[in-house]
Amino acid sequence: MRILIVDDSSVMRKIISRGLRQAGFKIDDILEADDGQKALDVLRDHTCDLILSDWNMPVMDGLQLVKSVRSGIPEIKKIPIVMVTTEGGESKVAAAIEAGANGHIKKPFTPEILKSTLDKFFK
Amino acid sequence: MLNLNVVTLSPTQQKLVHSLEIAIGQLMDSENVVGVVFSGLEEMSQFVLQGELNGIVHLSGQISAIIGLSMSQNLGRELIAQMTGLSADMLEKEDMMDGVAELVNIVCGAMKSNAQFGPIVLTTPVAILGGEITAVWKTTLPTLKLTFEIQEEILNILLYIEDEKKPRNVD
Repeated sequence: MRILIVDDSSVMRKIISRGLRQAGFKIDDILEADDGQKALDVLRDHTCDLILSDWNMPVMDGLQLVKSVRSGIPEIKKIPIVMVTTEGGESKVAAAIEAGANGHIKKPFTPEILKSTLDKFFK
Repeated sequence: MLNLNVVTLSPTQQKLVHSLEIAIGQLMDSENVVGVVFSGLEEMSQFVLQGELNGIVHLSGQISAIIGLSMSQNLGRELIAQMTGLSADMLEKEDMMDGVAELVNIVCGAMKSNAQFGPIVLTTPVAILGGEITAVWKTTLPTLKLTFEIQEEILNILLYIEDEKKPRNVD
């Protein structure tokens, strides 16, 4: 399982990596990008099984990333995307889901929340 | 013991203070930090940040407000180490800046969710590091200072509500 974590905060990328390990997921590789555009660049060169993305980022935000992936080449357009964000408002979550996101995790989160939300993507 | 009697809070202040208290609890729970006590609430004449590590977020929309976090280097380092799984000694200045910004972002985001006000937008967080820095906002109304005791260290949260729009009728 290879996961791409997209967040402009290097600390948050570390927090998510640690949370995934604590949740007990078997992960072969974690890729990182600090904005949506760089995530697309990573996806051009690497295969990936799951994307965890922040919402507010410079250059390209999380919503635009979801839209770009879903309208992208066949190799990437079906990759599950879960938003990890402080923006817990219903309208934002709905916009992300409508754009093609597969789930949403609100910060702060526990390993248990990661486990329950992401379990289905690891099976 | 927390004494709320010395400060008379408006309903909005009450809601935000309570939401911040819950947000801090959620953050500390998520990081398995125990021994967190909400120990004080006082009114300040100015919004002044002068901790070693400070973070700020502005809120706009239904409410216009400023929220600031202030803490010691020790506490910030321990919290960020706990959050990232890195050793406190390994954290570099960039980690601390990013970590403080993320802390205030998480707390304000959780507060927003807990308070369930109308539309509120959070600005991107600002981190200010350095024990010699005192940052003062020229506010016109009193600022609330919430004090939390965390593992024998102090975390202060400043809350300044600038304006509150009346709820609009929904057709």
